[in-house]
Amino acid sequence: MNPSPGQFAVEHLPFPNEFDVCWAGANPLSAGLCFGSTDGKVMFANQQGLPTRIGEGSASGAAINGVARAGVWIGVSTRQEVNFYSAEEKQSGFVPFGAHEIRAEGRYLIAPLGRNGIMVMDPPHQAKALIEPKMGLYAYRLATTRSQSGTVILACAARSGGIFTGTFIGPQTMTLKMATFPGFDAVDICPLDPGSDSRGFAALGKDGTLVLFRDVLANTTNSITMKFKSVQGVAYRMLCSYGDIHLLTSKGWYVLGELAGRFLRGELVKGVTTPVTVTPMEVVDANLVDYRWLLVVVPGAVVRIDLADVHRQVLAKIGDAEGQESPETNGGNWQRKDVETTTRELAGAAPSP
Amino acid sequence: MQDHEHSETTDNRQRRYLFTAKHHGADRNAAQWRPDLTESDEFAVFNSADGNEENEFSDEDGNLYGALREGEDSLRELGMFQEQIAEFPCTADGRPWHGYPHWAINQEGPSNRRNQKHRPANRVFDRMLRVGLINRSMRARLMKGDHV
Repeated sequence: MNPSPGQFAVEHLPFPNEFDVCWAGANPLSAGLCFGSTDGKVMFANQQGLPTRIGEGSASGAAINGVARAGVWIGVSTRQEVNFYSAEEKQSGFVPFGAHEIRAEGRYLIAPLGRNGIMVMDPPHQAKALIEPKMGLYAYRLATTRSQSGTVILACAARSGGIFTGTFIGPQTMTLKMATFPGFDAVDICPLDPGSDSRGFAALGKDGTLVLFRDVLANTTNSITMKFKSVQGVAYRMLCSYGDIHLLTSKGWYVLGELAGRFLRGELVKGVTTPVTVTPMEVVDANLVDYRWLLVVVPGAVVRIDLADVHRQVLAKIGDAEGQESPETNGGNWQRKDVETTTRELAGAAPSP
Repeated sequence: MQDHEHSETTDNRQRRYLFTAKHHGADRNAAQWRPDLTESDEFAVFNSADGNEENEFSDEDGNLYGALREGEDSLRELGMFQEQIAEFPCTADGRPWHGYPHWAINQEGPSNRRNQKHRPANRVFDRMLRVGLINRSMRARLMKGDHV
């Protein structure tokens, strides 16, 4: 089964040689974009991608892997440390533990710290880590979704530990639900319908295996595990918008048209095929901005894609005979446990003026 | 297992290599090699790091870092926590070297220095790129602590 070649409009945002871009996402200061470099610099840009300000993001000069804003605080993560800066005053500090990314949830900055668990920080106060001491949680990627009633679901991709999910209440001990099956190496996780009351999430395995959960806090009987043969390469990222799932692998950008939408609506029944398109690119990383724009980092540039336009084209092709695939599916040999986290304070550098 | 030395030396600098019990299950707090990685594989990781002054995968302190390619665009997992790079701390001349899988991100915590070094240093990834062990996107991902 060959996927259709992607024929979507993409916009290349070039960078000067002295800014070796490795991360791209939303601008935490104002509407627009933000970029990180391999030598620890952060570039803020307007909506056209034109730079408005460049500054040091990492205390150690390490490559940027995340930027997020909680209140007046900007968090910048690297494999060496987590940095935080006030957007209003000249205050900054850092937590001397490496992170795989950083996100904001309410007034908290949260970051996956590998074996050190999940960092929860209400800056400039001391950072705490949620640790799961017995199962060997390795926190790799995080996603959250907030219902209209304010309940926040936290989901963590934990590599060979599978996924951990729970109701997030801040830096307090919490119960996490762990779910995995043999051979599953969870490298990413995302909500299926971000911004809604849906508890649907998708988890991505390094080999391209996808697991869709209708309710990630319930038992796994409402999940489906699938693998698209046409998706090739090492799976890096998975993002969901407009009901489409976007997979970024070492081979390129794959669009699984309407897969999330159909799953949540209960339309993913036997015989239904999914339109799959591929756009080859050398992917480094990818993120969504406002759930509309997909930013894909490639060596030396960032590619911006309008996902509303992509979805229009997906809908137009949904009944085509070509480029459709019915993935191999199964329920997965799931192992599930409820685990209690503990918390511990993370020693850090106090904010400095 | 007990500590024991490999029968061969590295191709370039004839460095000796010691397999250590600590990183093969004896110390649960230490980084652990995957059990399915043979001693020959582990030595091959060390051998990949060894080279002449221009192309060995070393940092400014003389520590070496190695990896094994897997397929077109990935590296083999070496450690129990999916580590894909191994570190071999600098050893005195004539003594055997040893190594262990290296965390993708800093797990060790506080340092007295604000500008503590990140390991492996970026130049290690630059050299891996130069000899073709990794490609440009893999270099950027590894520098961020991402898997490849």
